[in-house]
Amino acid sequence: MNTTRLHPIAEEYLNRLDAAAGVLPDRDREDLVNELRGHLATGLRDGAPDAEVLNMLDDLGSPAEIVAAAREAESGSQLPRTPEGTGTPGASASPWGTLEVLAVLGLTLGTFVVPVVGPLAGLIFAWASPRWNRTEKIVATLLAILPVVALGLGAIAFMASGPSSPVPVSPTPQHILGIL
Amino acid sequence: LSREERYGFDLVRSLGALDGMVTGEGTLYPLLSRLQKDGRVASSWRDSDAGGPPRKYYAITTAGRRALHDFTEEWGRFRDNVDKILVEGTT
Repeated sequence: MNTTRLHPIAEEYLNRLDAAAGVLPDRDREDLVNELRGHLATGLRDGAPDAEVLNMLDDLGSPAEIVAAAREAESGSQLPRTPEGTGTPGASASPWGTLEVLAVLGLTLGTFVVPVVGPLAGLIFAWASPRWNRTEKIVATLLAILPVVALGLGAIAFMASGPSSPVPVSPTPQHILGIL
Repeated sequence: LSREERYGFDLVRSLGALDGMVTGEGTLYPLLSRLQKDGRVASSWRDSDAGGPPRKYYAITTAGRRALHDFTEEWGRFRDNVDKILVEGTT
């Protein structure tokens, strides 16, 4: 795209980036190095002092860091965030991890143990879960919210009926006797 | 990007200036190319006016706008819930 030679320190950085990007597909590797070259070409004026170049490279982060971000971006949310070898094998295969267990506990037991705060915490754990997909999270949210909504509607209905028109209750023997 | 198209350098520098948002500005380039692959942004190379190197401009797409809208709503709910817990936890 733009092949002008940059400051030697910047060129050396791009070489290291290119080497580190060897793990990426060829096109991605080329795009990435081009983007970074463009970034440095835009940010560095001709004859910039070494310190300025080093500062700019510091802001960019190490080649290893950038390549790690590229691998993560490409794998999307399909893979665990931990690099291969360090994560628990098959960790993402099971829908149950600490977060998920906490979410369910918060949404169920939490309702009785610490009302309001418990289920809210459960919701947060549910949404923070890397294992559950969006639909599952929405279902969890609806399950948590529905009782509250039902309670709210009930309360509104009760208030609307007002003191002048007593809420109809199921007839008791006393009522029937009174009517008679 | 929802307001105007920006070129990579400018975009990356301004995101990098936000405190605590990114560790290395360079890590934003892979994210931009991922967004482009997903069709959420589109890019085009353009010559810069001052005779400098050509610039790659990024613009948001319709799909990008939709995704941004969805995320904004979802994030709002998440933030409100966290705020509620934090407030109730201290009282």
